Amino acid sequence: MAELATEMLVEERPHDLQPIAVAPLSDEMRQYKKRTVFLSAHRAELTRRYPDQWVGISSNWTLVAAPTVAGVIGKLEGKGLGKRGLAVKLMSTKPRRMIL
Amino acid sequence: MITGYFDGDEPFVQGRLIIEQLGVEDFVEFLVDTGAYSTVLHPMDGVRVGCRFDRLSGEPETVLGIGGTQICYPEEAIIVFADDDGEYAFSLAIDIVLPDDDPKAVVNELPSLLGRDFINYRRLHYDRSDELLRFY
Repeated sequence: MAELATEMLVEERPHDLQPIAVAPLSDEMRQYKKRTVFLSAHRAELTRRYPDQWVGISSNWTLVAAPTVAGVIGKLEGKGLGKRGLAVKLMSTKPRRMIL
Repeated sequence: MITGYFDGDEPFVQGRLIIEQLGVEDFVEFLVDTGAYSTVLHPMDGVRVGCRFDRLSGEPETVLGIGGTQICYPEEAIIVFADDDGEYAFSLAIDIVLPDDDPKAVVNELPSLLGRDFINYRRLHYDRSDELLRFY
């Protein structure tokens, strides 16, 4: 019986989700992480400066703030900057408790 | 090994999201959510990465969440995660949620989610006290 159970478990075990490709870490990925970490690490200061605004940092480290994500993108575009690699977070003065 | 991080008490992992048919190829922070059935692109990120919502082709599905129901549109995607050495691309279906017209709507503030369609196939080391979040 135990053997049968083991057999069944092995058969029912899902296949591992294997990567379809592997590549060296790109500088772009590394830089994006730096920007997101910066926003997290400076959240208190940024919230004081830009309360309840979305704050974004573009790929060339230009910081912009606006009431919406679309507003952040619009400001960047106004400066002639692209949104690719944009890191953005809401600097909420009353962070919502999320139960997802 | 794929390394994540904590923003406050929230566990995140970031990756490059590619949804060719919707013109998406940009970075996204995913909240690691074992309560989520599937990986979800929420509007905050969908707007930011320039998702062509008008090109959604998947059959809409009604999904139950803690705050009620949401309509999701499944699309085939590639997510590239990184560790200190390299980048690893995975193919999976991602559920896309449309933005609400009201900019203050809660759904527009939600982070994107990394759900059990990924988590269940990896080993997860989760240790908030030591700031460790790793997928093996």
